[in-house]
Amino acid sequence: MGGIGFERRQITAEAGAKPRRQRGALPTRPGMARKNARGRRRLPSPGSGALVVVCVEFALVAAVAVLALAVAVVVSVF
Amino acid sequence: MLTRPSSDDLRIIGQFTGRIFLAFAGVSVLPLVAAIGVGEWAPGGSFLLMLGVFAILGAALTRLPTSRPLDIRHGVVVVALGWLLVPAVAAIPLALSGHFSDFIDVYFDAVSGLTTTGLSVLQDLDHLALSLNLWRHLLQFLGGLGIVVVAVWLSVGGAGLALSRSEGREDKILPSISSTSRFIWRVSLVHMAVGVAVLFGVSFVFLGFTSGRSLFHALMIFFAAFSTGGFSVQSTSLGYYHSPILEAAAGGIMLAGTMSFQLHFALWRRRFREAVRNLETRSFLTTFVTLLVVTMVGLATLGTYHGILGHARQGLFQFLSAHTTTGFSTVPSSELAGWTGLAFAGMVTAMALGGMAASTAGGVKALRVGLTAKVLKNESKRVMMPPGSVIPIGYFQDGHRRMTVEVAHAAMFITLLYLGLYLVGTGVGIAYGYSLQDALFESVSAGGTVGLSVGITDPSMPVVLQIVYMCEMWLGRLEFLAFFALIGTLWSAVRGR
Repeated sequence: MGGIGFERRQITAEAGAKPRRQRGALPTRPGMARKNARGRRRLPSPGSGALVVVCVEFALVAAVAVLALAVAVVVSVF
Repeated sequence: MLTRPSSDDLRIIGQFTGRIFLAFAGVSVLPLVAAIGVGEWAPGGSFLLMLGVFAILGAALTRLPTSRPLDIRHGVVVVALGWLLVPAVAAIPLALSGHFSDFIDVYFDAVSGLTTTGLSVLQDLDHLALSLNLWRHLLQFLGGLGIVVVAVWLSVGGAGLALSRSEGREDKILPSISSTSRFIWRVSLVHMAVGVAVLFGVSFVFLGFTSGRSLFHALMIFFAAFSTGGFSVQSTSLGYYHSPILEAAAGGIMLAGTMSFQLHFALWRRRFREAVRNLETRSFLTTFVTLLVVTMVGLATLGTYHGILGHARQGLFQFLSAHTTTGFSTVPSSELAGWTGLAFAGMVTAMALGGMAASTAGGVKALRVGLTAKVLKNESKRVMMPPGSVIPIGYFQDGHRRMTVEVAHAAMFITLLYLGLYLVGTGVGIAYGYSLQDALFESVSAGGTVGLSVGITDPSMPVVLQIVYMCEMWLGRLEFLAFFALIGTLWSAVRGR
């Protein structure tokens, strides 16, 4: 029988709906929870990445415009 | 056995619906300030009335005492009710404007706005007050981002995950729903800054508009394009501007709106290989290129446009508007009704398939199209290969994923529901004497939240057809789950124990 699994089941059954922090599942070092939360909140900053997205979008529009023009030319020839 | 919802369940649903109302009360300040700023006192008064109704309803409902947190069962009902009730209150300023003949017309316009469809029965659009135009376009922008994203941003907090899933947004981009919501807002605001600047420059330099008029038109076009909504300040939509440069700029923003926020995230983080490998990206590009060629060839056979440039420009813009489910047009609806044969097939299929999941676009969605194609391919392989052969059943979408039976069933089931929705609307249209082609086009346009029209949608259309189209827009935007949950809740309230 796996000791860890047994312990986990026991903790879950006893603790019931207690918050995870009270079940001892989270790191106990002071400030760790806040540090983790800060990591979760971190978003990519709107720097050059945002410009890349905009450039990709306009490049796609240009590409489909060229495709539409090419199809129109081919169709008009035939 | 069905369990009758307890009074606590109803209070939870009421409380979170109230929070959505409060969020919209906050947003209502924007058109009110605009109306006061430009001296439009009558619309200003109607915005004040709307703000008051949102605030009173929101404050009353949020005071309901609850003992449990919101879960997914409550979330779907809250979302379904939110998408039904918010347009009813948001329609107040439009109802008092004198541009509609009855409340059904007003509600139709508000539902069309919030679901980012863009079909409109508004009379004399060219003379609508500036602040009312701002409100219509703002509704589209907020509807595109999702009521829940607005509510999470303003008030709902941790319960947003249950609400967000209810609105058809399955995946979180970042670990928490509030950070995902903030990322969606950041993407939207960056695009707003770039998009409005480009559109302002085009209007000011190439169209000769004054700076104030350029800014207003740029902002309105951005709201409608990024939300893939398709409302316009002018009754002739983007055809009013006669500018290929403006159409190209709007096209870029429409494409940005139809891209999933996961794809935005991948590109933002410069994960180009991942972005290209995604099943959804490949599926969207495949249908886009194939259907564009079909539409262009169809247009050529009709001979509607004589010059090569005119053919390419009109064909591409209407097609881009259809596949991104935006609904802008540069040709009149009577001319669009003349797009028959292959051009009609290409346009209707593009509208039906729509954009990407977790974007502002509507339609079946490219991810479901890709998954359905993958399932069909696997099943074909299973038939062709010797018995007992091992067939790989995975796909790549933000990482390797297993094609489970549940995933395949869900994708194909929702696809079938969309097809059924389109057909029901078509049947009702035919029953009212419209041709099969026109009825199918308009029904797919409503169900796919596109907004292109061949002329059926106008102030004189039959009321029943109007209600059917409203249901199509609502179901198409919420992707059915919330509807079934609402019906289930009502049924269990009546028949449950």
